[in-house]
Amino acid sequence: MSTKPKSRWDDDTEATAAELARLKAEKAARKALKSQQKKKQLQSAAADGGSSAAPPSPPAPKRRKLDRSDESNAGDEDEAKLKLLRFSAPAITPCAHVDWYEKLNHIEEGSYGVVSRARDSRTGEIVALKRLKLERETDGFPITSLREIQTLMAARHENVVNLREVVVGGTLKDVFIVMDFIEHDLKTLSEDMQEPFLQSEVKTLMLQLVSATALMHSRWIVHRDLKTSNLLMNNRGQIKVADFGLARYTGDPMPPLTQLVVTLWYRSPELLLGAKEYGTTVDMWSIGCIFGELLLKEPLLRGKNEVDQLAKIFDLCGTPTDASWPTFRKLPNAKSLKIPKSNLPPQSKIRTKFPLLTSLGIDLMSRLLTLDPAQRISAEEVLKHPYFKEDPRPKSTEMFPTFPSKAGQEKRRRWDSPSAPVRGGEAPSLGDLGDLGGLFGGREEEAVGAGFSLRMGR
Amino acid sequence: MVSLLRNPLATADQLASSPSQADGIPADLETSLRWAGSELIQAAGILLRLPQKTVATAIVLFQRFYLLSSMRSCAITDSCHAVIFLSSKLTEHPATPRDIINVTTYLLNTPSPSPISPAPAAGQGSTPPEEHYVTEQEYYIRRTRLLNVEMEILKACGFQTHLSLPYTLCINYIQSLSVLSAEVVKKSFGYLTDALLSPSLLYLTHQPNSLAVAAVYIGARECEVKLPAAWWDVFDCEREELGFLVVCMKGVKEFVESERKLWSGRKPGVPWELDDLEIHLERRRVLDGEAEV
Repeated sequence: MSTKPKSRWDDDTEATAAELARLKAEKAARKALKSQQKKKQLQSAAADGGSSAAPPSPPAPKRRKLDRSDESNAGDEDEAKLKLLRFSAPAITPCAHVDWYEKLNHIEEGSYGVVSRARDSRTGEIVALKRLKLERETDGFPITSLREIQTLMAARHENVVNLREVVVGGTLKDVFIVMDFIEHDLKTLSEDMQEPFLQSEVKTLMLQLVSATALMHSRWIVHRDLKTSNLLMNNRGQIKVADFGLARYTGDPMPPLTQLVVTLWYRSPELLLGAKEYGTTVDMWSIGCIFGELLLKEPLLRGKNEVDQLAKIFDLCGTPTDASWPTFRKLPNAKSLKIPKSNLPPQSKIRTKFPLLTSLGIDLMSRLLTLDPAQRISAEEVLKHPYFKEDPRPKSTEMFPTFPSKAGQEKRRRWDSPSAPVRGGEAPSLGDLGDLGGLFGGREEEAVGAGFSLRMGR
Repeated sequence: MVSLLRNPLATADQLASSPSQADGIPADLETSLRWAGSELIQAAGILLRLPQKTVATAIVLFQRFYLLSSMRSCAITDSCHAVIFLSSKLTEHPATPRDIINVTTYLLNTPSPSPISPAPAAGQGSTPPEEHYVTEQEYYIRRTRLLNVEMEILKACGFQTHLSLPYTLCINYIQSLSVLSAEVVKKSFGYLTDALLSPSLLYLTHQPNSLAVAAVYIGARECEVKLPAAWWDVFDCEREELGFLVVCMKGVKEFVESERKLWSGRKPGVPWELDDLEIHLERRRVLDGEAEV
């Protein structure tokens, strides 16, 4: 039985034999090459070891040894080729397929695409999957999405949402950006909070936001859409700047850019006045608006349209004068602007708007909300501002409260705020407390898991 | 991950196993096609008035693409169109598909100083416009292919479109060695541009700082500018690597000349389209068979 060949494999012995011989030869050749390479590596390693054995001046003897003549470089070719292996540069690898990700739930949908929560089936990690809308594209892959991917890759920072990879689906129109999943966005979170953030918390949030912005600006990236709904926050008190859909590289001198950027409430006066050349300063204005919003728990400048927005800005920060903003009359839309001539000096109302803010806080706010972009504070300067050094100090991120995540579909407690007691009614007596077990009842209705919700308490 | 000094590079495995060669394209033909495509991109970039950074980005994207994909699955013309289009967007100097297609069709059908254009026919001043006219129908076919290949390129390189070019670093290094002169810069820039055509795919194997160091080295040497001893150490370039790069950069001229000689006036010329490529391969098979007999 054992001598009888298994028919299935023995049909075409000649062909396979030839094939096997070829493979064998190939293998042998590879082996020879490998051993040769290994030998060379060993040699070079030995050379390195030899030179580094002399600790006082390790590179010098090596160079002198090699420095025979500049023309004898040809011999180094092979050696240099072998050293390619040491490069730690990112490899050029094709996109993975979206099927690796298992969709869990829908998070939100914007004009740019749909975001859902998904699980990476290779690692089990939870990620956010953003599907780009390419169906209507007629001009190839949209330049805005290219910029988004480029800038996200360039702006690696602990306070910028981490781009994991870009994956594709079955057709050429299915492209997904895979990012870390972050539990909250600051807008939904502050809408659900009973009270605004504490001063110490605002400081921590601002420092994180500004350090991310400083990195982006140092890499010549303007975000152009900073707002609370684009600031994500995890349960460890860290915020992450997200949505680089409008971000792009800038330069010096600045290239002409479109004015139709930044959500209206966060748009700076120079953009509203139609400036064609602007830069990182537009982000700083948005940061000022976010600063105000964090303190007030509501958007600072809620204009209905561009004109109203400008009116609200001038109402808060005072109208521009030739002294406070020398170049504003040259902006395209400034001609249609009629600033009422009044004898009163333009007054900033920032002080009265934030009665509880310290004078250093007011100083920072008014530097961020400076009308003239040339005088507006830069991200690097904000980080050094004394407001962050005075008490209350920035709260450490570990001490931040945690919240149930809406995007993660975690349960939330519902607090139906009790209405004020009816006047004239009789104050209910506690009477006999009766069954105290009631105090411990109703626990089933409370949130399960999802961390603590310390701040939600009364 | 992304910085001025780090580019995504090809791995040793990727360099050793070319998808085109696995698909039955001889190594020398692959080298020739890479050269021809790069020449076409460079010439088209000049006619489209694109800055050199756009052209260089396009050539590197072109090289990256064929590192991961076979030349038999995507015609050289289509990928040239697509990389120019893509890099024009990446470097914020948008060019339209129509302009790109018009320009390459012109270059490939009328005599021009570019080596990839046909040689001028004897006794004829200029070719009739019909030769390089793109009909509306042909335009739409080519445009659709351009857009598809653009996606293929992005997919193949995993949207790793980041590329730091060595030109600015080169100026920076020359300045910090305090030997700044137009002559040295011109020479060095010339070698950096030459390196784009290198058959060793220098932009896929070396980081921009090394490329810049090598270009400065040759530039300074040719202008007889003296530099301090072992200055390349300061810019994180090893002597061995520098030596290799210098040899490669200086070899580009010879390589390009031999390619030009090989293809100029040859009929049929460079197989730009997939059909041409198949015919070319078939012809080679026949010739190889004859040679064996």
